[in-house]
Amino acid sequence: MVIIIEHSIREVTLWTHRAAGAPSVKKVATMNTGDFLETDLMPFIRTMCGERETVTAFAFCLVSGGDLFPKPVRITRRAIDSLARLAPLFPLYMNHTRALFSFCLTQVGPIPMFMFSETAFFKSLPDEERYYAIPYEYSEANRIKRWGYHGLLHEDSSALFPETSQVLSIVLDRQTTVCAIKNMTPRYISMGYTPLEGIMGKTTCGDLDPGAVFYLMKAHNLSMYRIDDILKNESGFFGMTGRRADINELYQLNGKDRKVTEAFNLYFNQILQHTGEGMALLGSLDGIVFSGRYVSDLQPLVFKVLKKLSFMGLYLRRLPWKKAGDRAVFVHGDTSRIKACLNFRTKQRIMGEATVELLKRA
Amino acid sequence: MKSEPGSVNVMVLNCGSSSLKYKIVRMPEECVLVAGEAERVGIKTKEDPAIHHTVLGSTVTLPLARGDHAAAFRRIMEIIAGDSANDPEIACSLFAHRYVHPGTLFTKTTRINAHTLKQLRQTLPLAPLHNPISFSLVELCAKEYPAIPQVAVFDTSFHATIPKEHSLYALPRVFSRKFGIHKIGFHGLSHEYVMHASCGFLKREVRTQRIISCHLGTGGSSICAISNGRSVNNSMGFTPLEGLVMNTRSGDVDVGMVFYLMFKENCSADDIETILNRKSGIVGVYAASSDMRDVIASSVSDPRARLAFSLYVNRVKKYIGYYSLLLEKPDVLIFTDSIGTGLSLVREEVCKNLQMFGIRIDAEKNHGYRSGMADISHSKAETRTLVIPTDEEIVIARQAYKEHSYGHNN
Repeated sequence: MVIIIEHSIREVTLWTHRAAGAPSVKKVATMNTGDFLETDLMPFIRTMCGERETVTAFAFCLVSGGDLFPKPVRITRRAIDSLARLAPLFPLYMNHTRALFSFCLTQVGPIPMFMFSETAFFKSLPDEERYYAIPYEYSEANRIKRWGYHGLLHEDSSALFPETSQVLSIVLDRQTTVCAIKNMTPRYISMGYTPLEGIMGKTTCGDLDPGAVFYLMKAHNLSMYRIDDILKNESGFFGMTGRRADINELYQLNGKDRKVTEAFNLYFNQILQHTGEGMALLGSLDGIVFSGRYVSDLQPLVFKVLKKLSFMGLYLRRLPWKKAGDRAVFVHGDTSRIKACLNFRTKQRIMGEATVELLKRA
Repeated sequence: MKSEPGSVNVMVLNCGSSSLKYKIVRMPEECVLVAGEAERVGIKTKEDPAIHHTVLGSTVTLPLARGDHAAAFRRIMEIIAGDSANDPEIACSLFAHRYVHPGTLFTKTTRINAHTLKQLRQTLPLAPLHNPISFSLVELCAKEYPAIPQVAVFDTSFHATIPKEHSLYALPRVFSRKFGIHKIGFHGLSHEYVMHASCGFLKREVRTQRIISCHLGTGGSSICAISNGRSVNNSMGFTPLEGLVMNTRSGDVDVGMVFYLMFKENCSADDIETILNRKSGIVGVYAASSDMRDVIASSVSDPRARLAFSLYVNRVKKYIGYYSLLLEKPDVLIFTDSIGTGLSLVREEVCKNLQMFGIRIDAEKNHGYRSGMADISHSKAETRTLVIPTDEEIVIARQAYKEHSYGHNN
């Protein structure tokens, strides 16, 4: 059994990965106290381990660090020290991460621990997509570049097609991202330097004219901290609808509630925007894949996006598209020139399988 | 060239962030008496600023001292005074200003008086590269030519048809309701002009066409998606900062970086706004110049020039990709303004590998283009790609004349 651990500055989430077919179990420890590691996290890990000897490895998911660790690596004291280089960029997150890794390293003893980065896949993003058109010195000195996100799912989705294919991968999750991939290499990613850029999220604004931020600061005397908080925590679906629900729950009200409908119209348009942008950089398209936790619940929206590509020869099977375990389901028609697919594999499944492979190689 | 009774000589003043285009148009005949452009005004470039001045069909290039738009305007008025001495018919009887961003204060062409001047002053923060320049010229005209009436024509009116799902940002509702934060769109005069010109050229009905119009200027640039004669999207947003990479403007960026830079560099909002509006884009990446012609000339040997060029081209391609899906394949793709008509390499690189959207150009026609309206499409292309010099000034002259002559009756 492999234990998969994902963490933010607020909580730690754990899954178990067993042999194919066995379900994962999720547990959450809230990091709301200074000594959460001892009082909250360890009891969870001990409970999940049960018979401790059955745990073969721990796998951690990092939201950044892909340029330092372009491949999954074993967590060692040296690796933890090298994460300190990222602390100026993500002070809260990286300090939590280092504390968590150090603690686990001392607690789980000889059981190997690996870390996977959500940004590692984007290490090979071309410079013209990596850089913003801001003074070059600022980009270099402050590492203000497009780092991307959801690399594990995008890479997994691209592997559904032959290596030389041109694939568009869309992850529908709490954050939604679009990635264009050619020869298994990313050419475009919608999310940038921070999670604010790209497609709107549950509480994040997505793409926004920076001029609007300056206007709000100067003409309406809103502070930098207030606007930052609004864009991260009070915007997106929550800001537009006033409802603090998950995107898949809100979708039940699409077409019934005016504000929810407006929010989903904007969400659809933003997905379309980044899909078109990614396609323009690919030059042609062999396949398009949707994945992420909301891929089942948002099938009508996926259908609507794919219908916009019918002028290019993409033809679809009728809804509903049935899920078959966590296998990929192809939803294009027989005469379609472009393949369309739903990838139901989860990030935890991908990390679990990759960890098992790493253990075999070790 | 005698004027008809009732004719009005409209002097159109079209301020770009680094240029000042002008025309004296006799209306309603639409007879252009004088035309010209002051280039490289108020920016850092390798070449010196100059005025290309055309009067009665003959063009001269005149030197222009480095300075701001007001200095360029004064020099232009001196040159025109010289022309008037030779031909008294060349005179200005109405100033018409292109005004980029009126916010929500004005939605149509407006006569300028003390009250509207006061209102326009409130709009200066909305487009820091344009509004202050245009406003300074309005004030200068009022001060130095008090007897000549003035009219403001707005760049945003054409985009009033952008649907809500394209104009909203995913912000709390109070931001759009109370503060008016939404996509407004710019370069409407140019997009409207080339839309009509393209349909005239192709002998097609405007209301049947899906058009992508690329206004690529040496100062500002934007792309517009047009369906059935109406703007449905524009790459610029609430301000002209959003969208394409421009000569000194960043275009689209992650707004998260704004807060990071303010915090890390201990900068004010003004400082970061200046960086993104005046020190970014082409000049931010390439550093030596903000002029795309300089970038192309250096791109073989200078990796930073190559990066600036690729950033620029990629951003245009991406918007074309987006609008192609939005329109479900364009019927017409248009390149206009100085970079759009003047740099065939930009057109070539932008259109490369866009066949899936129906776009394919003929290399020979593209590089052979010199002037006027031309179709540079490949013979097998489904989308017609046109090069059309824009004429915002004639749109401004028409609207200003209409307001001046009939406005009070409307």
